[in-house]
Amino acid sequence: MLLWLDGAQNRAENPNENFAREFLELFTLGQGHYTETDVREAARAFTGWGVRGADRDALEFSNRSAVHDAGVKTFLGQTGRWQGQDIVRIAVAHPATGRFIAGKLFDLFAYPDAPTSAVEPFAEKFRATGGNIREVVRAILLSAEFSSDQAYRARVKSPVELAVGTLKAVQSSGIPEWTWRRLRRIGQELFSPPNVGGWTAGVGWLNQQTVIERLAFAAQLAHAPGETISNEALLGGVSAAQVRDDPGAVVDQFLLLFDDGRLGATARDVLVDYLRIDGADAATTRFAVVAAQRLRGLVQLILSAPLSHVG
Amino acid sequence: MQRRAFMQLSGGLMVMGASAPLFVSKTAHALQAATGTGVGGRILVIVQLAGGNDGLNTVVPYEDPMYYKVRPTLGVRASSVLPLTAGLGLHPSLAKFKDLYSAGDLRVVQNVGYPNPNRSHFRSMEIWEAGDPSDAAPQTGWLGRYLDANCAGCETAAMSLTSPLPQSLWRDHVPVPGLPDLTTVTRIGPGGSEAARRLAALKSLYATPDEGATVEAVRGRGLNAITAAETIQAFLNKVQTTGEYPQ
Repeated sequence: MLLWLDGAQNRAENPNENFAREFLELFTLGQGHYTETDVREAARAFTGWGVRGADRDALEFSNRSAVHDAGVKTFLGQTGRWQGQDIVRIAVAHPATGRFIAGKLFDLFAYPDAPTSAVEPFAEKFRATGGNIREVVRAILLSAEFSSDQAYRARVKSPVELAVGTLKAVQSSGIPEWTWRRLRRIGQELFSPPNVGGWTAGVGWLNQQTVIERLAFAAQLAHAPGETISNEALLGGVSAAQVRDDPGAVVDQFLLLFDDGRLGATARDVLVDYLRIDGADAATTRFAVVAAQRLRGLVQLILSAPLSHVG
Repeated sequence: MQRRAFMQLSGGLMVMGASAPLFVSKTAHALQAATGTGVGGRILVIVQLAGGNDGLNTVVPYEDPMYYKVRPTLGVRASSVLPLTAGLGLHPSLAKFKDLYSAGDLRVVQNVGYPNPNRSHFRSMEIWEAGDPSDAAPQTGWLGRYLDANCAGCETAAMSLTSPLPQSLWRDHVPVPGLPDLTTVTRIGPGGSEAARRLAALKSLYATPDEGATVEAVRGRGLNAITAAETIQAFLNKVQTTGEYPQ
């Protein structure tokens, strides 16, 4: 953040407000809970904060006291010779920060766009524990909200959640190399968000290109998963004869592999119809070849289906 | 920083410089085919450079003493600006823009804004793209609303070359395709009748309503993308492009 938000340029004689502004807007209080004066005073207190080191991947925090503004600042109504850590302390203790952080965590673990009343208990937990994230997450995970109907399939999976969940479902022994390229194209390159505000979650993950790339992820996993994924785990040890004789049972087995099996009857019919080996193919020895193709196709289709992208 | 150095830093722009013109041209042709040409057979191309431009050093108020007072070193010298009109001139590196201006093909709109900006970068961009400072959480953009109001029933009223779709094109009704490419998916796995069967099943899955608002939102966006990809591919297959473009 200090790199992106001009920490180096924030000096006593010429403060740069970038870091202070985003700290307040994106990471603590949220818009509407502070004034422009608060931003300026916080920027003064943050003067001197920067990074040092030649290797961009191994930078260290640096507090350059020579360029720090040691004067008196008034921030959120409190006056003192504040330094950067004082601004953090005062901001975290502000009630708006508890609501802001708890709201983000609730979005992430329970469901999005929750009413204030649903989030308030967790905001209170944040305040009561002095901003202990672990305790807030614990409270959310143990709450009735977490396992409510509202939380069921309420979130669009992020690209990373999609990839990790799928790789676990097929018992991959590691992360295939191609995953990183796919993730970038689906819209999430880890540690490289589009801007300091992070990714746009929810349906924001989905635009025409990223949707297509999600479908390509499903196709690649089904056809070229790489050596970390065994055919047996991917294809469930299903035989060609099972595909020919009872495609419905095979579909149900695979639905349990990738989801909880709850799929609308029409969508299930689509999958069964796809898997069914038609007359001419079923009558010859070719059916084994077709069955192998259809099984991979079934994996691809299930992973492509809308329900595979919510959780 | 010199512009060239900036271009070298921004790999994305280099890619655009090398590949965009042909792509833009093809897309314009595709759009023309899709819309049956639009108003008067013309297509409006909007190039949105989202980011911070130093307006005062782009269009320089070179006769205003206040400008040189606040920019004693950064200011562009009056003797080097390319005069446009009384008191205003372009930065000397914009000579080709000056030519466009002289030919009547370029105009500058100054002093566009709104009262009391709150200085949040995110909110500021949102307001610009929505074209509406009064809406606290805009769901449409200024171009998107134009499309909704004027292009109902148009098959492809507009296209976006960037991903994600710029907020200026957010709209309620008229679909705006980006350039999704379904061959990204279909070139993986078997071809022939098996590929066709699979694609048909995929489209059926996205045509089947499901329970739950989030699943339905995903399904809607997916259906939109698949449909757009097929539409665009059909047009691109028909288009022959000629002409050379500057690199």
